[in-house]
Amino acid sequence: MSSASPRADGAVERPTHEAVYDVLGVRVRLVSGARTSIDLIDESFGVFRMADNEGAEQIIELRADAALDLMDQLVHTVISSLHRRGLYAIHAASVAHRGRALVLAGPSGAGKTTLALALAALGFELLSDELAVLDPASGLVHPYRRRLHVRPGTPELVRGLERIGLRERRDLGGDIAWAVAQEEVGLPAGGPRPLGGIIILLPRTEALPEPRLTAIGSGRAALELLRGTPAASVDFSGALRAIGPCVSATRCALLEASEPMATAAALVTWFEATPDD
Amino acid sequence: MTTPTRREGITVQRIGDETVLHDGGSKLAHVVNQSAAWIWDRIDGTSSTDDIADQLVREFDVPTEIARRDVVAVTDEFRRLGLLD
Repeated sequence: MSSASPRADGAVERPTHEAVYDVLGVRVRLVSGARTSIDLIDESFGVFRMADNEGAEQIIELRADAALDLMDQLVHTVISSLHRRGLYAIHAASVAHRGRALVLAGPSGAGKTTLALALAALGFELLSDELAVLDPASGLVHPYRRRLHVRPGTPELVRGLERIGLRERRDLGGDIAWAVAQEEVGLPAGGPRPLGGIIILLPRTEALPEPRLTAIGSGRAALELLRGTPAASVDFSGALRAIGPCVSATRCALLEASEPMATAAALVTWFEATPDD
Repeated sequence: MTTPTRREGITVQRIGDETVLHDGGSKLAHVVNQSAAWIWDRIDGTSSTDDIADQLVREFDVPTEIARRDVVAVTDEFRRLGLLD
């Protein structure tokens, strides 16, 4: 949708372009001065597009070069709104297997998306490659179905993704080259699942011959999760109190990854050995 | 022998077998194990490190010298982390 209208002095206002998104019940209306901004955001968030903007929070950015800023504001608005509803959006990938969710946390570039895609290639359900939306009250991890953000180098490492690397590269910020819909690569999508395991990926400093999993306590795991949780920067103690009980009931480990498919296979073994609650 | 006192603004959260001490002033959080958490719980500004060690001896039947050494080591670490006055 775009609009343009004449002013009283006869000049025509610059056209604006808008789109409305409903992300996990959070409605946001984006207004941009550039069509290309909305198009770029649609590449990742198009699955959330709505026609009705009733009750939507508004984000307006009229600069033509502000697409990535607009995208950041959209994500920030969603995360803040989820927090007000008692949900914690953790910067982590999440997958599910046999009815339980596995959260893959770690710094940017640690390999969360690559590992999530490798696990999906082995039959795990994909909940998200960026945000694990945790509801501490129910212990459920909710899916966040924004398109997958894939960096150069990842398609060659994950079975079934090879043809993604042949596509034209885009600039989606943070070295992201492609926004890929799960259906495009035949990955199974999952619904909300109870938290069943937490993996903290360590940054890769050397190429390991095989992956290393080291058990950690739930206190350490909770801190690592909160490191990637925007809500924790606002109220750390509150966030720790909220997520502590479900983390303490969950098996946690540090992971030093090796080759993605081998790492995923090791994780399958670890996760299947984790007892149900 | 000292009589340690907790600094104000430190919150305590038990998570599984671990305890997180969050310093609201420095914004740092520290994960401690059950032994250190047991000692932290007994730092009340009136009990000396010897008093705490004596409790450790009574509850866990450890030798007095070992108990005193461990309590001093843990409280020194708490002090180094800025958790004690």
